[in-house]
Amino acid sequence: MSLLSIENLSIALPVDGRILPIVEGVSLQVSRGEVLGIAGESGSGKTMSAMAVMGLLPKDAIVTGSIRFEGKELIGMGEREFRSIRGNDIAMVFQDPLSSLHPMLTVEKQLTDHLRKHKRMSRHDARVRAEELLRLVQLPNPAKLLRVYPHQLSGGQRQRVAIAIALACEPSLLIADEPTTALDVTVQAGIIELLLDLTRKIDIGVMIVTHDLGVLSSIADRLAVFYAGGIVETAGAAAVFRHPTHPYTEALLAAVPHRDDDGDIDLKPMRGTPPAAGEWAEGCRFNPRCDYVERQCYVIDPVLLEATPGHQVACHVRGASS
Amino acid sequence: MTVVDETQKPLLSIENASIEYKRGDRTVIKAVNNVSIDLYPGEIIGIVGESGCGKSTLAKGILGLAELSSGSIEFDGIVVSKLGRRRRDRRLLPVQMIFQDSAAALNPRRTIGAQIAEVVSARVKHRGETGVNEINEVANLLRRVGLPPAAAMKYSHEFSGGQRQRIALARALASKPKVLVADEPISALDASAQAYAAKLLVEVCRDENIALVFISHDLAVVRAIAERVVVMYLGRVFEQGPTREVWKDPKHPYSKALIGAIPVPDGSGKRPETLVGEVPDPANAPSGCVFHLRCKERFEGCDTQVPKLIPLGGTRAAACRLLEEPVEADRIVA
Amino acid sequence: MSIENATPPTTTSIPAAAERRRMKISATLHVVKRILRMPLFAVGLSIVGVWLIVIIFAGQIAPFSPNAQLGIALSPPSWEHLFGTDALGRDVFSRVVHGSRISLVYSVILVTAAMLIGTVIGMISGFFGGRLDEILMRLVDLFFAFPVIILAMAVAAALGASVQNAVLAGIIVSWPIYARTVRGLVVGYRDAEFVVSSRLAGMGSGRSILVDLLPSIAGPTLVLATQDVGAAILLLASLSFLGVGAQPPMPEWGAMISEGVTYFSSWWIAVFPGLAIVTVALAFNLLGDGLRDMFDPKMKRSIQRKTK
Repeated sequence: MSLLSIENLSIALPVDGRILPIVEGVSLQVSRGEVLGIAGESGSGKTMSAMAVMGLLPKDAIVTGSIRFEGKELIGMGEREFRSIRGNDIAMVFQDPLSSLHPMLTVEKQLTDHLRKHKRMSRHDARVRAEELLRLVQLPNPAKLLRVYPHQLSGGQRQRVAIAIALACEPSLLIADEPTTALDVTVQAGIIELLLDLTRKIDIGVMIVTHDLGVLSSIADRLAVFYAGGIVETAGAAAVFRHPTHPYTEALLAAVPHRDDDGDIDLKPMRGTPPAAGEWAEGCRFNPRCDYVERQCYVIDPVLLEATPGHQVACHVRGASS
Repeated sequence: MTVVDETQKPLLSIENASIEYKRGDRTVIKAVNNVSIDLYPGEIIGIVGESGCGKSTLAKGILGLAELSSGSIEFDGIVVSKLGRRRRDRRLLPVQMIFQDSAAALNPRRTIGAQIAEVVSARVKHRGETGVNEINEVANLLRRVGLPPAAAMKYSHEFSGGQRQRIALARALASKPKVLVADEPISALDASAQAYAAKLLVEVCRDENIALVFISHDLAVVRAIAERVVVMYLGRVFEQGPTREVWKDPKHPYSKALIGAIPVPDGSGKRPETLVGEVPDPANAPSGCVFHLRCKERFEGCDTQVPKLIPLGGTRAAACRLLEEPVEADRIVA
Repeated sequence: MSIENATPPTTTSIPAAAERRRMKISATLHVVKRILRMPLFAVGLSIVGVWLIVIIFAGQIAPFSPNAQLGIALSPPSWEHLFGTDALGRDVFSRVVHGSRISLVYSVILVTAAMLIGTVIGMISGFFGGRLDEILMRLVDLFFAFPVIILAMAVAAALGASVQNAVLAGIIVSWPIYARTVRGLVVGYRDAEFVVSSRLAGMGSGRSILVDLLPSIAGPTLVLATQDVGAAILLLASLSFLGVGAQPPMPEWGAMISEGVTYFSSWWIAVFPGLAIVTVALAFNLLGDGLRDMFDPKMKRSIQRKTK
């Protein structure tokens, strides 16, 4: 059984008196020991979907579908019950660790408060566990680090502390929203390495949301590519990168420079811009930017269908032959 | 690709430039440390490095927005002086800048047409040009960057980030620049918009024979557009040379690490190589080679001796003691 | 390399000058319309509008001369004397109406003058910086060191008690707030990338101030000024109350309150001018809030010709 199972999730937000669809009909699963990568550009609904799992959507959001976590339905769950799951069983790491860490509290205080509140540990036990956690995220000299404030740490160290806090209560699911975007490449490589090691070592499910395809390629087992509120392609990471099937995935991959070995590389820009919520095209939402567009694409919104075993694509032209 | 003619006079020459600034706690930081770069007409050069490497400060120095503490920067033989409250030296007007945050670089209260027209009329006045139809020129500039002329009537917040960056380019083009300094021009954009913005920038510079200084933290992007690359670390030039050569055969251990750390979207699941430690505090730079604490190839003496930039033929050079002379001495494995 | 397909180029062009002017006006009207739809701003505007009518037609609205002693002292509000009469038998309603010409007009003058002086000094200080900035800001600090009312009292007393001198005192104590605020805003915008971009393109200091800086700081400064009108009325009233402002028998609202408090049981003498002050202060505060939104650049939207 999947650790997390999202079925037909739709999210809409009231904006200026209109109801704007943000996410429509998204289904995905995460199992223990697995890293699910969610790729997409701004406004694709990837962050909103992650927020829904955390129960952090705006109060007036209209949510339908089902999010089952360890068999429990999260949609419609009361805030109180959700609070016991959030931070305990589902933890989150954000792009900017500075904003998720309290600037006036030491690392120790932030780590142990969490442990004492959720795990009811004694002060001493919490401290021992805190040191252990810092070691787990491969920070040197944990005893000394416990006494410092977030601003005394470098960006990479901060992100490691944020991960340590997220792992404090031994969650079974970790959601990471652009965890490496604010970091330098050499530091980013370390965080990727760490997240991978942790997944294997402590057997948790990880959902990593990022627009950086390179990061996803090196970390994700499976991939879901979001475009305009829905998944357009999902498969094992290797399959998506080697045989990108949806025109959007293909164009996105062509638009980022590759680290291939020789010859001139040519960036192939994708035309147009990602549509804002409420401005999605009729039919297939990618049709204004698609190179393969055919007549039916303007009329019928394609559904995710299996193109090859385990590889689902929502495309009339490149997807499963219909 | 433009072939750099070595006999040509450089258009922009940065010589042993250092830039210092005082931090809040009064410690003096040498953000740029003895950097020399020559830029030839129409050449595209990439300056790469991680945060704190001084690339943005160097950009400011080129524009006269930061004062040099030593060395010099000259454009076409004119010394770039700090831009004070006076009007900018008109001879320096062909050096223009594109900022990272396109939203901040455009006045939110004026139509973009007004902002571009302003630059056109400033140029017309400075150069004493005649017979320029400003409206037509604004329209042409907008068309040049792939926007409809009617965009002139709109305000910057009505555009997407990618479009705003193109508007900033149009405005820079309005002064008919010879050198364009672009500081992380695409890193704030969505993945699909990045390629377009980068390509447009390169295409425009090629067409108008504008020399481009493309500053980025992303070596992969720089590789796709720049002929020559300068790798900076903690205010110093670590390696420079033709991008393709540096990419294929990096000489400096830091360049190697920087290239190895870029994750590749090829589905191989290969992990990027990690580099131990983090960029040190520039106020507290390590002795000797400032990179030695993180270097996988450091050996005896790296902690005391400052490496010199060693010419490696052509425009290539790297600042690493490994290249100084054949060193047989016992290396310390980090 | 081909990127032609990136954006479908439209055939629309930049409209001619007259058309552009028309579009600009309709864009402004569009913003005004949106602002007017905000209920609180409309309330504030209506109140100010009513007071404007009162100021203009004070002679027609007031049934009596403000200083005419009508024989019946301390009569409570009645149909004949809507707001009652004071100790000298003057009609309070007529005095409040005529008082608007003093309290409102002088306080607006006070705020406008203080804002202009403060803006100029703050702009110079912030834009040019250096030694000049140091000197000007220390001067401002000096003014801040004294409680406003004490300083104003001292100035007004030194110049001699009159409304004009009270206004002068008010200007002297009020401009430093504007100078400091404007300086802060200018320092913030001086190095903003859009200002730097223009300067790099060869724009001179004057043009930079006029085109980039002033419009950016105008919003917050005007909002501050609008909300300050209420405080200015109170300041003038306090000075009158303390005897260094408007002199009897001038129907200045503060002076009227000051007279009223001595007749505690005749509440109407002080309450009605007090209510007048409250409505004006409230109205200007509401206006200020609305203005803040109006100056938000995001409210500016070009009027686009539909192109499809």
